[in-house]
Amino acid sequence: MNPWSMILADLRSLKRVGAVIVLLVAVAVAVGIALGAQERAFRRASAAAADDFPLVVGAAGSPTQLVLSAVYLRLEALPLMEGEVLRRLGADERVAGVAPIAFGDVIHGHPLIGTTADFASRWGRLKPIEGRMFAEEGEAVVGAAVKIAVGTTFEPSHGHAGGEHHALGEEDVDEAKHVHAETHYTVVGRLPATGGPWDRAVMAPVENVWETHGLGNGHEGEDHIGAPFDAEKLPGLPALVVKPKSFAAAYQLRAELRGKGLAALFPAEVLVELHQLIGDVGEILKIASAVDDGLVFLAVTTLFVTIGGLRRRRYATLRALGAPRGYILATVWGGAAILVALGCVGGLALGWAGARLVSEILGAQSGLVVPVSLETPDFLWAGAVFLAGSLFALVPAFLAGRGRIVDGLAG
Amino acid sequence: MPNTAAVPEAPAERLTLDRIAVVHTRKGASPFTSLAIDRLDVPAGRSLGVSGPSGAGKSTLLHVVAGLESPSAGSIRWGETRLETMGEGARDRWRRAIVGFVFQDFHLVDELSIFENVLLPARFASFRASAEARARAGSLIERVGLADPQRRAAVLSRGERQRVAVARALIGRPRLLVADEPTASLDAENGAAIADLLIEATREIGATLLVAAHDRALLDRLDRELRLVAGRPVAEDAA
Repeated sequence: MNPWSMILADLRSLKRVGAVIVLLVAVAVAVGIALGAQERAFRRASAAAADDFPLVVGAAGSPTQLVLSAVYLRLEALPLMEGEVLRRLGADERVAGVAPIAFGDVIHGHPLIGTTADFASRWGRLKPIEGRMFAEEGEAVVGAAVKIAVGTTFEPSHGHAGGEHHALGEEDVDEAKHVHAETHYTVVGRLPATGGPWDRAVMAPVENVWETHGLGNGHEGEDHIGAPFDAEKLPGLPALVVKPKSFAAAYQLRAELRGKGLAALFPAEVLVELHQLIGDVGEILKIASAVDDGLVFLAVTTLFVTIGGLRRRRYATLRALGAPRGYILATVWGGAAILVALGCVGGLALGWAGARLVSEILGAQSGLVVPVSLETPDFLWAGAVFLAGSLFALVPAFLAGRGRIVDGLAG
Repeated sequence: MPNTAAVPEAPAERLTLDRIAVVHTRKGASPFTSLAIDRLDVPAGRSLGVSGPSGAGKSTLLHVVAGLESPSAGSIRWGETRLETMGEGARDRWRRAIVGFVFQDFHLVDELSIFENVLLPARFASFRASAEARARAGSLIERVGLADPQRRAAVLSRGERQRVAVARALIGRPRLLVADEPTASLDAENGAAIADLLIEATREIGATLLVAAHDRALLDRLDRELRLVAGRPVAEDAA
């Protein structure tokens, strides 16, 4: 038995209806694929962005806000902790590195972050792809995505970056009104892309940022930048990044700092909560998309049953010419299965494209690079949809072979 | 089950109908007898025309003979094979091996070429159409007078379509060719050509020919005529 030529004939006669069926199935599949791929990609990207932030310390307050500000640069005014914490941690032997994160200024829409050269290079991991790391006050390095050329000199403004109508690389009215005319920075280097929001930041010595705001330079009159910060009175700080020497040290430090009324946390802790929330929402969306798929299958199956009814005479003719019931079943099922299979393949492509689009939007908003890829679960999902679809297709196939041939011939 | 007839080279057999009745019972209506034939005998390789007004049971008779419809009573035999006792699958196989069918309205698959339409029945049973079947399809298409086997059925004229249908009915070397009003949808010229084809082609392969028709010219060229009125034979004249 070879129903292939009849399957092709049936598909040809469907014309646009066939395309509509493929599209319906493709959209149904794509929603599930896009959700899964996007969720997975977002988890990875958000986790990767937190890699260089082993322990984040801030004044007591919202730990989520602390992580969002320090790691993801969703900058909001944080309560300040005493600068003394920085000096103490800098002297602690369990600490491999500690860096202040001071923000509040903006340049051409990019946040200006005051920190140490050590942290700007991510504890030595990042080598500038252009120019060099800042080495003295008045110098700055930019993240890979910053639209300021190396060699440019700029004056920062007081204010927050990333306002809704504030395009990157442009100076808006608000920014122009609050220029710190007495401070100048020259961009001396550009860092490689990390895929995180810090790619959009301009980093400068924290001493500079303090001085701009009349807070001293954090040192005992010396003219160097970076640790140790040994001034009698250190300025208050919104956040510190601490790199402990060991896991044990990390937990000890976290406990001790918390004991002193500070917020100290591993960004991973907040991420776990965040991911759980995303997971829960994702779960609900996936159930909704599965219900959606069920409805699409119901509609498509009904369509196939209707088409089978319209082709009653055609199939009765084949039976009269000697075709066994199985031939009719295989013809109808094969045609439906091919359309569903095409829909599943189309759905994989469409889902991937959809997830990419969401990534672009997310990336534009957050600076998080969220690379989307199709992986085993996506193919399994498409496969499961195909399997379900081909089971559904048995219904019209059985119905088409049913009934008396003579009734079918009568039309 | 005697299935010797399935061998392509087997000869046609005698067709015998014995006390055949087809009774339709519909809910809310009294039973209606659409066919009642006491005895009908068609010797192997002969032709029989079935005439009569519309609704006289001509198609029903053809359907019963082709194994498409089971009689309510009586027996129908093809040689030693008893059709009324067969299961559906066996009847499908018997029909595939023995019967060729030509319809009034051709019933071609419009989306397929002439060649694929003719070859279609060869694909019911085997995955690959044999080289022999393909060659046979080609020569049948030539035999019925069609030039380009790759033309789509949809673009053919009525006369051409019925030629394709005849070639399709002949692809399986049928021992029994059943034609239901094969010329009724055609003009006189094409009707005559199709009548020629049916009669000559069945004679060539020694098959039995059963034709339901109004077409006097066609009926007169067949060996015998069975006239049905209200499902019953009224006269049978041997030609």
